[in-house]
Amino acid sequence: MISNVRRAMVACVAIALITALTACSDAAEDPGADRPSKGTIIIGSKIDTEGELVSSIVKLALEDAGYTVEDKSQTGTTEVVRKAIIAGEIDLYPEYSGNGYWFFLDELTDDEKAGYNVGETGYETTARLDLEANDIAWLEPARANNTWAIAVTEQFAADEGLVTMSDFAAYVNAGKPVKLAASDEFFTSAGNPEFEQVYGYTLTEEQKVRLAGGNTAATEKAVADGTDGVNFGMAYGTDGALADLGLVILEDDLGAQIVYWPTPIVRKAVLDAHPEIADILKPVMESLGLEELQQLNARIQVNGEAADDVARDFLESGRFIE
Amino acid sequence: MPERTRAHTVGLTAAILGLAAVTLLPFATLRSSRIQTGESLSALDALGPWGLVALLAVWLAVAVASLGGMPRIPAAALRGVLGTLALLGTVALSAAAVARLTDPSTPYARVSLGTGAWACIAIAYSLVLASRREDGLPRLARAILSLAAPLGIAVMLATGTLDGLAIMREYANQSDRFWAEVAAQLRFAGIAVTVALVLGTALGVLAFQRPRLRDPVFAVANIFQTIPGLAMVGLLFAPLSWLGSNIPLFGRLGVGGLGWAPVITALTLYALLAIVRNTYAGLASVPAAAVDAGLGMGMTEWQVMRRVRFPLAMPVIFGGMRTAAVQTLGNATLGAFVAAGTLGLFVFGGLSQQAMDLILLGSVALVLLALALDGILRALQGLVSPRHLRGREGAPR
Repeated sequence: MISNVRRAMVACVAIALITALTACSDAAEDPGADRPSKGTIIIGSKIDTEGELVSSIVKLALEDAGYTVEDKSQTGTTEVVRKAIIAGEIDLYPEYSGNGYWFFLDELTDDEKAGYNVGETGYETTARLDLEANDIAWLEPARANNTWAIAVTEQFAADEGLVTMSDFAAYVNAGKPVKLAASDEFFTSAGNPEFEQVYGYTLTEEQKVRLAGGNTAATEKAVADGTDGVNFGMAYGTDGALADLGLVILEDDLGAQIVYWPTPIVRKAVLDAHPEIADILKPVMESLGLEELQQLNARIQVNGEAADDVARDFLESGRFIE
Repeated sequence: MPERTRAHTVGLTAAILGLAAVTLLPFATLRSSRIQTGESLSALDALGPWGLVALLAVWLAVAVASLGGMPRIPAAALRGVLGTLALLGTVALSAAAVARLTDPSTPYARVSLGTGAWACIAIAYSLVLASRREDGLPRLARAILSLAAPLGIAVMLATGTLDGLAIMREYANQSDRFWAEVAAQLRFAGIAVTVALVLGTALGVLAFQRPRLRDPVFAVANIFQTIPGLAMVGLLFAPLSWLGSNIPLFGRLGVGGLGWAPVITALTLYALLAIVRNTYAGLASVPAAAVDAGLGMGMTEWQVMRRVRFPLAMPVIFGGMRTAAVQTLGNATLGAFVAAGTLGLFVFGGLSQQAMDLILLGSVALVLLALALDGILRALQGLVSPRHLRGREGAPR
């Protein structure tokens, strides 16, 4: 009886250890093990389709150039990822140039704030401030404006004559039914406040449907299906699902929004140790335009392809990697 | 003369529920792309008239086999076989329906199993498990019933019969990553349970030997359970990050706010309660007579613990370990919150992309893993329980 007990306990511990150890041997697999590595870079990203895409592109480009990349993509929300890079848990992740407006809001002069409505000036201000404050270097951006927008179904736009945000303001002010599904961030800190100020409208609490997290898949689906009476939904400029869901974006005719360019940002210490990273990524990011990004995002979101496959296709067709 | 029985309630209930699931619930969903909500299809629209008739026939047969008047053991075996047929039939017919419902001009269209199909599968498998437990069923029949459905599914997966279903299309897109994340899930759960076993058993013994420590020990273990997973790893971020950057050894091992460290720490803390509590309960349930006998034979306290208390407590302790193991396997999805992968990646990725079948890929895989683990541990628990003590809490029949 006792020997049975012993046997069973030994068996359990053995199973647990074997499971742990064989699964651990995954870590020993190293695709670049035949070539000496130039160094290890840890890459993170926010939890959304575009974050995954850009971090995949950066990862594959760096691996092709001889680096070992530790993939920690889908790291967390903006706060989590910022904490992670400042603490050195990750070395690089794709951020948006426009977010510098929010990170450094207290230090910006009025001129600098106005500059954020133009891509180039906003990018330069952010790059300068992040380097000074956090030793983070901003590399070449993709000049595709992934900014906040409001989307409606094509049918609804046609019925109500909605093409621009000015039309939207007129619609709201006429007292017509509005139910806007968006993230909390959109309503409170960025996105809607700018729109309300520039276009002259105000949304009441009943007109807002607040969702946790910033992924527009949920808001776009809500407006496409008309769930809970939602007729307007938050979207981002480079979203891939818009065409498939039959949605159109209301044009920001008065330029209320900050310009958000996706940019790989890296810890200065890592960039100093491996300055060629900037040169490897420059041509890659330069060739990512708005339509290109939308199509790549669509392949991941609508077709369900893996981000790494889409990234590899993009890099191979642009001759950035073999 | 073989016993005949009255109507078998479980069988009849299963038959009624199965028939309801097929006829009343949406059987499948057809989407034009993986992120669309899609339209629900009834079993008739999805499977066509013959498919519907086949499924209805199986459930009706289950009803007939449960009406009573048949010899008991063959009736149970028949119900088990019919349950297996219902399960495999639902899956196979749904897979066949994909070709009927889609065509090459819509390559991104997806066909998913709907509520009705999943309900059928669950009811059918419950019926199989219930039939398996019938007293007097020969061991061979029991084994066949347990394994037939899983084997059938495995064969269908291996031959690619199910590849048209939306969940398998998601798998096809993610196949490299999928197995790596399964390995990660098992790895984290395995390490955490091992550590929790060592710690938890020690704490349980301590609580047993020092009665005054019992309440504080249980209270601490309890508190960890109340902290939600996301909050737990959030709380661990700062201290682990500090440890990783300030202690070179930890840094080299990869300790930090992200990765394996917060996952294993959190999982171990969660697993503690079940193990501590069951160790204590097992030790406390040892009959005083046995302890007296040991002491009377001249054993020291430690020998009594090792040779009398522990072996007799083993079924209960093992039950605690089984609970902890299955619970930890599920909790390991936490890894997705700290860039450590695991099946949580597919669940939360699917959630954020609003792609239902990606969520199912992660969840169904997790459920199957948990069932398999529970089965293996049940079998081991049989070894651990002394034969004459079977029937005590924790020991299986």
